[in-house]
Amino acid sequence: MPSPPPPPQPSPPELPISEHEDEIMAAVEANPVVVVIGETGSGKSTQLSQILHRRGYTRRGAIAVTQPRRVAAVSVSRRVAQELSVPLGDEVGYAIRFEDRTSEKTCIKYLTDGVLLRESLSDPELKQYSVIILDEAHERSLNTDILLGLMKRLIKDRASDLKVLITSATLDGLKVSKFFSGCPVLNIPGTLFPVEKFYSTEHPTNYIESSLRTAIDIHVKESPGDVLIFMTGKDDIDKMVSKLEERIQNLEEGSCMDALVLPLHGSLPPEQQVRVFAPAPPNCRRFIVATNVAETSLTVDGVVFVIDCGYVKQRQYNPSSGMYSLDVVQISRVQADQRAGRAGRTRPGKCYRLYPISIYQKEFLEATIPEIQRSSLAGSVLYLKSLDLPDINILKFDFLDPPSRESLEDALRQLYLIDAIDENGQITDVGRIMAELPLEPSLSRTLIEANELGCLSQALTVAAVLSAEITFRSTRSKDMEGKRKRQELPDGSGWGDHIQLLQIFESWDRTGYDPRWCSDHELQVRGMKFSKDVRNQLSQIIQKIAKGSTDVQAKKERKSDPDYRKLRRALCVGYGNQLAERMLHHNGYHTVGYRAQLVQVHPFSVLEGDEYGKLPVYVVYHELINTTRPFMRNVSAVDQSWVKPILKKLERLDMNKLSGGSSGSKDPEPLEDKQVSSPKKAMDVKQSDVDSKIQAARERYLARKGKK
Amino acid sequence: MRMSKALAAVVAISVSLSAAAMGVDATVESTCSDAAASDKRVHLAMCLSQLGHHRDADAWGLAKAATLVGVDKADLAADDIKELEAGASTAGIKPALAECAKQYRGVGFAFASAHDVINNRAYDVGEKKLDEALSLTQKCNAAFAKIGVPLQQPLAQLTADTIQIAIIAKAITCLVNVNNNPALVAAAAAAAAAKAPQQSQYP
Repeated sequence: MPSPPPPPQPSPPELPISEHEDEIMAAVEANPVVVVIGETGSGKSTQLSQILHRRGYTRRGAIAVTQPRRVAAVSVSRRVAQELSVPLGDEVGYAIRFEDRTSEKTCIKYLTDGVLLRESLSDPELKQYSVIILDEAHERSLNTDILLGLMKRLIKDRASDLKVLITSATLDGLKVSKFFSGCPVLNIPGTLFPVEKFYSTEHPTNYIESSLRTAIDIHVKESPGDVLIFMTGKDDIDKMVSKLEERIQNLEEGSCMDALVLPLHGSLPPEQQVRVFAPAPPNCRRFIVATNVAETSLTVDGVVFVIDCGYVKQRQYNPSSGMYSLDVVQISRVQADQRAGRAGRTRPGKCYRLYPISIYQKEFLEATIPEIQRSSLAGSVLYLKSLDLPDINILKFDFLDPPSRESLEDALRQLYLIDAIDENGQITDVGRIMAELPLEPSLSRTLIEANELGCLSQALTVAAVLSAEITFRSTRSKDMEGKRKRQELPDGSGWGDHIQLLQIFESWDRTGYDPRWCSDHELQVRGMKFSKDVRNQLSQIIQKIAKGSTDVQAKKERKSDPDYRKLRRALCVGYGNQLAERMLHHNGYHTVGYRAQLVQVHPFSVLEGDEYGKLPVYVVYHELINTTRPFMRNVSAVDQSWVKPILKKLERLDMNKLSGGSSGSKDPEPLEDKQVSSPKKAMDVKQSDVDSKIQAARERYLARKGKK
Repeated sequence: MRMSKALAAVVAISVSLSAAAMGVDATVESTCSDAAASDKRVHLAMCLSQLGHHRDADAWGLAKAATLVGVDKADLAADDIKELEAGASTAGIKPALAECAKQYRGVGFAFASAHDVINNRAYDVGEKKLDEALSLTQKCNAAFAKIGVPLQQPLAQLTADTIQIAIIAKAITCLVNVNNNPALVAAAAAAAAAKAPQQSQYP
């Protein structure tokens, strides 16, 4: 039987983990690594760092607490700062990519797992920390899984002065313990109240409608208490919020209490998520419509009812095609139990599962597939190679759950095509610089090439805007208002989306960064400010690490390079692993690389065709994602002459050498040689044909440009 | 001597104030008056001078406009801090200037965030962001107070203006929030009713 909830206390609150303080400290004192398994809401994210701080572990260094998500790093650090009654950024702070709220005073630092990885580049032993806590390890994020492997090494190097704690809500503690040579596992029971679970008789065909009906039933029939409704993504959340608000408004006045419907997903800026954590107004029920971010990362108080659709949207990477997809898949049993647990934090609750119990028992996986097994590993492999670990072999790195060989080989291939590693798999000077930039490999490589070509300023802008993830959806919609807005924004001059992003930023620059310009063009002011801030940060970083002189000041280079040739050439080199060639007779494309995939330019792209409507023969793309169709997003035109060197590299690629082996003597080689030669011959014939078509297209395009 | 950006802004405010006296849109005037009535910290004159040219804006538009003024002022302050840092002759004030630079970065983002969420009609979140902008701005004052040095001009005036525009923006946002939220309207009415008996006790 769960213990009764404790009476209200001044901070820190009496959460379950606080009751086990002595036990935890004894384990930490005696062991370099400790695994702490605590239910969501047990206080491990907020209290563990405070316990260690109180026990003196910040005298010899700071405490680092990693989080897989930015929003969690921010929100948890705010909570801890509040509990300790210190300003955020003083004793308690956070660091996420492109944002740092820490100071010299900071002794408890919340940061994303990616930031800690990046810190290890300059300080492999992470000497500034006396304790490193890998929080939310159950989420199995890619970076956290890599950190697990690195911590295993680091403990040996710093056995006397470093403590590592791995915390989780659901992770298999024994598995992690075995990984760390039998470290202790502490199980912290929570104070969850019992949750009654209801199952549907069958899977609904429309889970939004089914969720809606269930929500209304709860509102009309059940006692006070907030409702948490799990959806797969933002679009469904928006639909649900709209429908639910409408349905509630249509209820007979006075038939039930007031209601407040709130969205909660990762795309919401942190400040917009604050509403969810504010207490509900009196006599009002909140409906929180959320993605899986509410499963464990963010704790919402007051929830008594959960509606679980049984699905989650999962980003999957296919190393064979180089394509990401956003797949709606069934949740795991662990996820289902996590969702249900949200209803029992404050009092006994109810969970409505919109699927039969047989589905839960027989079809759901036990646990979620780790991110490392469904992601592109190019950035991670580059990072590991840049560490210069004496005995490291990418294919043999100590992972808790190793990725497939195919994924690792895909990463090596990508890095080779953009010059980050040489044909023997060794990191190059270019690769070392790339690893120091907090960017995707393609953008890092673009900046380096742009610096050589003399268009660094433009490339910095493109990299910053893409990294800031500014959305222009409202300006690219098909409604008339959207079209009107779109016409007021630069259009990339037909060369593509990267150029458009540059032009938009430059337009804003010409106003002196007037926030009203953003508002007038329906652009997020904060997002634009953030991209400017990111650009400044990238400028500072690249000035420190790049060879030769760097010109980072925003300038108007249009006159000297009207077709953005320098920038597009830099993009071609940077995205050498993300190239596509147009089909001969229509505007479909196939990717250039290991296994060609048929893809299309995303309809939101501003890429233009020639006077006959034919799109450019070669394009680079920032993202390849399969939604309704395989689409290339953020696409720009590049010249065939720039593509040629990359194609030659592709021909010379020897995966065995890249992987660290030797070439030439194994049985599979002759077969591979035959396979290589046939496409080469076909490519030669095709190349000749393409050349002539390119020339003709170029002439037509120039004629069209001349008419304008 | 080159006029600093902050001083230029002050001059612009003076000109704007003169223009405002010549004719302010009724909506702007009524909104500013309501804001001043709801929060005694609001300087009516500044509200009119900063927002008077938004003749076609409703209260929602004025709330957003006020946040954009805040973004501007924060950016101006950040620029001036850089200039002060470059010219600072006393080592003792450099940490305070550095602290102000850091805070004003946050101030700008807080105002920008407030604009975006108010634009999305998430008014209570906007109010919180404006509280944050105000709090961060006041930290700049605190940094100088800690070392016993008065805030230098024109940064002092700019800081005061930023504080005031945060107050104005929040007051207007509160008005919009109340007008768009029936529950808050009822709560406001209940609060007013609760005050009535007390008032009747006085002759």
